[in-house]
Amino acid sequence: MAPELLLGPAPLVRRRGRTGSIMWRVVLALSPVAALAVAAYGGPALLVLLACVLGSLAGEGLGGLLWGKARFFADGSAVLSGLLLALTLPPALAPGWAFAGGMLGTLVGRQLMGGLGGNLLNPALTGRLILSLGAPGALESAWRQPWSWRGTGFWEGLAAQDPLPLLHRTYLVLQELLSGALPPLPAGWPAGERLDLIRHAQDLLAAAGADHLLWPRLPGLMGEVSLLALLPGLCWLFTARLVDWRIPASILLVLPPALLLAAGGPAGAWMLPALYVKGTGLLLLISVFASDPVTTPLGQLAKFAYGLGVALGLVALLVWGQSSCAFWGLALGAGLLVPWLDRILVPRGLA
Amino acid sequence: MIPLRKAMPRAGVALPLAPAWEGERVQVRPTRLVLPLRLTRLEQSEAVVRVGDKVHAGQILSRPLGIGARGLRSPLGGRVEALSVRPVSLPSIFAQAAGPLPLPCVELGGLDFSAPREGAWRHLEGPALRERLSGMGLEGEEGLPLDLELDLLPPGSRLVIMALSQAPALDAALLEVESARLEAAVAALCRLRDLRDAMVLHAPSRRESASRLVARLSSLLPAKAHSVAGGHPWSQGRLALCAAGLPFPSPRRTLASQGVLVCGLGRLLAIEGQLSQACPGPFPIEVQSWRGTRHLPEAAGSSVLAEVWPGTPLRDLLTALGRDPHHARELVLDGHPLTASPLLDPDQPLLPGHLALGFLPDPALPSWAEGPCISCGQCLDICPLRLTPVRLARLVEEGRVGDARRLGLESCVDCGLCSWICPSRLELGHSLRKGRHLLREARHGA
Repeated sequence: MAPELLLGPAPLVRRRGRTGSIMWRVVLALSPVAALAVAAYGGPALLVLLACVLGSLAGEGLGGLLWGKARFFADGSAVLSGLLLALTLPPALAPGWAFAGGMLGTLVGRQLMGGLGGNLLNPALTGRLILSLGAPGALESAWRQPWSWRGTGFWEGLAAQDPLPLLHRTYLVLQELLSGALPPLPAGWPAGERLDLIRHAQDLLAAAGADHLLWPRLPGLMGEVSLLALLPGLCWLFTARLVDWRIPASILLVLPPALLLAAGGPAGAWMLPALYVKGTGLLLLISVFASDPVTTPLGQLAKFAYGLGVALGLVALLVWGQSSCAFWGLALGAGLLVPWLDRILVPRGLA
Repeated sequence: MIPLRKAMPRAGVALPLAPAWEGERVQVRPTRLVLPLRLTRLEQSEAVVRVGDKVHAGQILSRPLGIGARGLRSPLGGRVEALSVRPVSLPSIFAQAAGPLPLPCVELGGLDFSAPREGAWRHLEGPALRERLSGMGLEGEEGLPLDLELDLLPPGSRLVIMALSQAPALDAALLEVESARLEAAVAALCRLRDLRDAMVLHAPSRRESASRLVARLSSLLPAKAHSVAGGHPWSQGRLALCAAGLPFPSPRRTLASQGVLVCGLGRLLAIEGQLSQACPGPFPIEVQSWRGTRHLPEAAGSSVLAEVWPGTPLRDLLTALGRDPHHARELVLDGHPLTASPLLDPDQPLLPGHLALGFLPDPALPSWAEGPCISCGQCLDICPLRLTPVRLARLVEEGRVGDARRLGLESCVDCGLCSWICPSRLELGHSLRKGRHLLREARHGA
């Protein structure tokens, strides 16, 4: 019997690791964050996670039915998109919305654009944008106070909400208080607390302190629960070269000096606690979303330029923005510039 | 990836000369030879033998077609068993990119190893020769390709060397400087065509040099050589014909078919070059086994140097190495796994240029279906030339080789690392090879 031989051009050896293994490894790297989010926020977070993943898988399958696109259930890309979407959502979102976000994100952000590899937009961020536009009320009411053995301090009795605008408003109140003006009470503030504003602000600062990076003490998105859970996975992704270092490096190089410059003005005074509050989420954004290979430039120079643009955008959002959604929108919008960057910054090699 | 690059030498590196080889040697005695009539894309030749013909070592099997083409000579004596068209993987990178090409081949059987290139030159004579020439459309042709002219020489031919015929200064220099090569040419003609004697026609002023050449030729030939001092080149030519007993003028082909080879010194040197280069002998192939996984192969043990005759089928080499060609659980590669193509046909002839064969373990050949590019950029990172393989490949597949050229397509050194590292299993290296091939073709076309 003649041996069965492989027909194909050289090379006949390939490095271990395929697209699927890359996807699954990213899923594995981010799973501690998801697990900790479920631990901190309980059953609702688990439902959101499952609904996002199932929605993303459904979008992948539906796209295959509608447009005849290849479906990549096994390669983990749909699961990864669902997981990433879940990490950008508040933990108590209705599962139906989470499912819709996962499905529409994959359908519109990936399958409609040609399937895996052909998409300009990150499917998870597309799903996030669709939910932000289609169900802002559901997102607003989906914030939850995380469980903490240290108690919730200032947040006890407050309706859970996005801490970023609250933090911003608190700083405005403090500034006015110090200038002698009677500050307006922020929305959702408990009655009878007017005279204890300074104490509350101190509590907020304490809650937004460094320990928040290790275990959540403020309401947040599922991906913002803990720097401790995020860092090992990120380190693994970087050392295994599954995530290119150039974009995060360029962002992290530009961000601190730009923040220092911006913080010189009165509007930037609240940025340090804001970084505490959103630090984990920002790192996730920088290292995973803004470094998604499909939606980032190919050339090295273009990657640095892309990172520079994202960093400046982040500074602008930190100084003037008051919404967590804006960060994800920035990463999504930056993807639209990728073809242009790839065209003008073409690597020509050593030729 | 860096250690791998260090550990994997490029295929196609020059082998050490056979005498310096200290490892195991294997001499392969093929059962038959499969000799393709084309060795490159541009080089073509036409068979001048028929099925059933008996050929001798060094006999011309084909005549060249076109400028730069070479005729094919038989490495061994034998019988023409078939004139076939079969897929052959030629040992060149550009041919590998095209895959096996259907090429006309002369298949020889009944090989005679007893006296390679030493047998008497026997071929058609008289009516049979005229019939063959007529069949080839050469009847009445004045100028013949050198190979065919030699092929027509019957045994016991006479050689007439027209020294100082057309360019006296040049011929004088050739007589002085190239006498060793001239003697080698005559010696080869003696061996292959049973030359009987020779005559050197020379100018009176070069009598001394001609005498030395005649003395040397006399020691090589069965009969004594002669020298004739002549005057004007035209008269020398006439004298040569008269010496051969032929009417004047006479086409060169007629002379050759009558057993007289008339040539100047330059042509004699060309004959020497052709006989020494185009009459192929055994050549070395380094055979190396690979072990480990297909993801990280490494050389297993020491290599074996196999000496094979051109046209030896792959199966004969496998048999000589103790491998069953019908139940091989290995992939036979023409070169290194990173750059080589597999030789899939056991009847694939081994040809000079096949420098190294590798045997890659084949536990479970995966189906490497291509996935979509996820723009991971790993091909950019690993490219030693800092090219953008994925973009170049895309341009080539879109037919935009000009744009790919502007991005450095021609700088690609065909290392294959981009294909090796691609997680989507894209055949980037193959596309780049194809692009370079298209550029080359476009240049030739221009």
